[in-house]
Amino acid sequence: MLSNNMSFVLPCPNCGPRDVVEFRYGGQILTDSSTGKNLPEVQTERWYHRYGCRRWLQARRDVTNNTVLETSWLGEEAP
Amino acid sequence: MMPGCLTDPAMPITFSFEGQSIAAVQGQSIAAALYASGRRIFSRSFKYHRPRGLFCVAGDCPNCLMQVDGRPNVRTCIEPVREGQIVCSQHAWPSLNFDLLRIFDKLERFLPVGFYYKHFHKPRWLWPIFERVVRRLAGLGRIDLRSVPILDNEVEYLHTDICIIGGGASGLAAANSAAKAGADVLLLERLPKVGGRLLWEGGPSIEPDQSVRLLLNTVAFGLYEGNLLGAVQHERLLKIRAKQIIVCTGSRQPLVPFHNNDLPGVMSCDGVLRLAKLYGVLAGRRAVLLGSQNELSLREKQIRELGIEIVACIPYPGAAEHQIVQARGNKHIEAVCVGPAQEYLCDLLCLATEQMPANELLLQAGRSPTSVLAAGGAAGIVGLINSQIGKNFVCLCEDVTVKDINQAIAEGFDDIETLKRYSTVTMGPCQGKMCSQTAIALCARATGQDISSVGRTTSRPPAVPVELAVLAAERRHHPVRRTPMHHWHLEANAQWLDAGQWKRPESYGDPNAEVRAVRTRVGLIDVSTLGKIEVRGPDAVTLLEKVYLNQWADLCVGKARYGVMCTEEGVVFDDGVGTRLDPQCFWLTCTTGNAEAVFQWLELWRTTWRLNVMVDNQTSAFAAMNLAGPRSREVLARLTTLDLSPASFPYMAVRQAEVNGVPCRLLRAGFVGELSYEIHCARLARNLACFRLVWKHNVSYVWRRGISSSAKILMLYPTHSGLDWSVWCV
Repeated sequence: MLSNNMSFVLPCPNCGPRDVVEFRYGGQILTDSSTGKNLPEVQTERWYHRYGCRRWLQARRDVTNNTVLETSWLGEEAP
Repeated sequence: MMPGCLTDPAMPITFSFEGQSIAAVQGQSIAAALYASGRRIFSRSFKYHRPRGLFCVAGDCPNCLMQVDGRPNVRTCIEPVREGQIVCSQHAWPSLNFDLLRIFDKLERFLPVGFYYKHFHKPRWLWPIFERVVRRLAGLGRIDLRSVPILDNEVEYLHTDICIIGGGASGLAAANSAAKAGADVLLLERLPKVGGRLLWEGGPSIEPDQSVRLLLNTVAFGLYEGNLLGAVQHERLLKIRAKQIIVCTGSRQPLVPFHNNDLPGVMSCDGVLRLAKLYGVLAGRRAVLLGSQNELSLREKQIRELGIEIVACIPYPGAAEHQIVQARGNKHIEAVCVGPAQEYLCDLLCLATEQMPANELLLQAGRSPTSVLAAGGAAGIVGLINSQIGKNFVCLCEDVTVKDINQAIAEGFDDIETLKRYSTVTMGPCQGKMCSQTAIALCARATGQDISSVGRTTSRPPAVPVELAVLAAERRHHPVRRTPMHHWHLEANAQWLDAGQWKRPESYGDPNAEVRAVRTRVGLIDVSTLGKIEVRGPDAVTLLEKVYLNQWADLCVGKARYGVMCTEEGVVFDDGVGTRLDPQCFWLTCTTGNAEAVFQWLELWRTTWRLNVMVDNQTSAFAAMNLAGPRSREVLARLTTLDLSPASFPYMAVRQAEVNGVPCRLLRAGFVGELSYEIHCARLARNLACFRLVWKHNVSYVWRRGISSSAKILMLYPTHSGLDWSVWCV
C-alpha cells in the first residue's frame, strides 16, 4: 500500500543503512556454487545505490524474510 | 456543562449542514457540534437504511460518516469543525430523519445473508441490472469529482530509534523513559492533545519529555516490513522507519448484540465520556448502563459525575444473562427492556462492555499477543447473546445480525475466514473494530469450539480509513528536465514533446519550413537531451570493448564511431556515437531515455571487472546543438578558426576547438543525413549567452527561419544520405 517495492533496510558500505527504495536491484549473482534462481534461500545479489552514492554493491539477502546479512562493494571478494 | 478540553468557547465557528447554519466552537468535532444542535441521527445503515447515531466518538465505528466539502465518508465524530465547512449526509433519501429506503428494514426476510450470491442470477441478463440497483441502494458516500478538491499532498520520511503510537498514559510513560535513556523518540497521538484516557476519565496529567518529538493529530494506519510505519497527519503521508515500535493504542468498547442495539442513543461509555470531556457536549439526561460487573462499578460514577441521571445498571453475566435485553424506540432510544417485566425509560443507553485491546497494528505485525482473544472477557459476550428475536447487530458497517452469522454458519461457512467473506462481517469501514470479537465468539458458540481455536482473520493495512489522495502523494512528484536552451525555444513558440522527464521542442509551428531549411540551407537542433558520458582511464578501451558489440581499440584519436550495446541476453539495448578524445578518454553519446541506464551499465561492469577507469555521466552538464544543412559549414566557419575543410575535418571526426570563444567539442556526425556539426559545450550561462548572440545576430536568417527541431521528420527521412534504410534510437 505504501510502495510497490519491498520495504527493508539495506546497509550501503558508503552511506550506511538506507531504505531499499533508494536502491535499484541488479539481479542475483550466480556462481558455480549457486544452486539456481528463485529459491527460498540466502542469495547474493547486486544492488545499485541510485539515490545515494551511485555505486554498485553486493548483498547477501535471505529472500524468505528479507534479512540482509551483509553487504560489500561489488567486485570485492564475495561476502 | 464544562467546556471540553479540546475546545475553545471563546472562538465561535459556523458551518453548514444540509443547508442549515450550525454554531460550533473552535476545537469541536463536526458531530459534537451537530449533537449539541439537537441532531441525533447521523447516518443511515448500509443495507436496511436504519437510523444510526453517535456510538464511539473515536472514529472507530461507521455511524457518523458524512460528506464534508465534497469528501465522502468523513468520520465527523473526530473531524474538527472549520469555518464555512459544507457538511451533507450521505446514503439517505430524501433525508436523514426520513429515509424512504428504510423499507428494506421491513423486507429483511427477502434479503438474507449473501442474498446477492443466490438470487437474480438466472436468467443471466438479470444480474447486471440488479447489481447496479444493489450498488446504488447499498453503500457509502459518493465521490463527486466536480467538488472534490485536488489535494496537493506531500510525503515525509522520518527516522527514529523508537516510535510510540498513542499518547495515552502508557505511551507517555514509555516515551519519557526511553527519552531519559537517551533514545531518539517519536510519539504519535491522534488527538490534538496528549493524555488519552486520562483526558476523559480524569487522572494526573503527564507531560512528554522535552526531547520527545511529538506528532499530534497523527494516526498510524499500517505497519510494514522492516518496521516501516505508515501514518497520516493533516492529509500528509508520513513514512516512519523506527528501530523499535511500541504500540500503545489502548483499548475500546465494542458493540454487544441485543435487539435494537444500533438505535441512536446507544453509545459506548467511552463515547459518552469523550463527547462530554473532549468536546463539551452532554449525550443525554437519563441513562441506563449495560455492561460487565467490573466496568459498571467504574463507569457508573464517571457518568453520574457528568450530570447524567442513572436510571438502572444492568450487569452481565448476571441479570441480563438469562433474560432478553432489548432497546425500544423508533428513531431514538426510548426505553430498555429486560425480560418481559422490567422496562426502564431513558434517552441514553451506555454500554460498559469489557475493554478490548485496540491491537490492529500489532496484529498486522504478526506479533499477536497471545492474550488478545481472552483479554476482552469474550465469554461475557457469549453469555449475553440469548436473544434470537429482532435485530441484534454484530456489525454496524455492513448490517450483519446474529441471525445472519448463524445462518451463514449453518450454510457451511463455519471457518472464521469464510464466514467473514460470505457474511461480510468485519469487512466494512471499521474493519472489525466493533465486531471482530463478537463474530469470533458467535462462531465459537455455533461450531462448539473454544474461542482460541476459532482464531481470527488476518489483519492488513490500513487499520484506519486513509484517503487515496494521501497514498497517491508520492506519485504526484514528477520532475521536469529542461535543456539549457529551454528559453530559446519558449521565445520561438515551440510546441513541446515530452521525452521521459525531458521537455523537448517538437516544432516551431511550421515543420515543413523547418525541414526545408535544414534540407536546403541550415538549421539548428537542440540535442542536449542526448546522454553524454565520459569514460577515462587506462582501462577505458577494455571496458568499451566488453560492453559494446563493436571494436574501440582501433579507433584513432579524433575519430568517432557508431556503437551498439546489448544486454547479457543479447538484446540490443542502446546505440550512439562514441568518440576518442585522447588515447585514454572517450566521449560517448547515447539515447535520451537510456542515459542513466547506460551509465549504470558501464558502472556495473567497471566495478565487476575491477577496471581502472572512471565513468562520468555528463548529460546535464553539457549543452549540445546540431547545426545541420548544406550551409552549416559556411555558418560555422565564421565562428571558429578550426579548419573545417572535408579533408582536415572529415565525416565521423571529433575536434576540440573554440567556437566564438567558447571551448567546444565538435563532432561531424550524420544526425539528420545532411552535412552537420554537433557542438557540445559546458552548460555555463556565459557559453550559452554567447551562442545565443551568435545565432541571433551573425546568422539571423538561420535563426529566424531555420532553428528546427522537427528532428523526427528529418531523422525518419534522411533523404540526402543516399540510404534507403535507417535505424534510429533517440
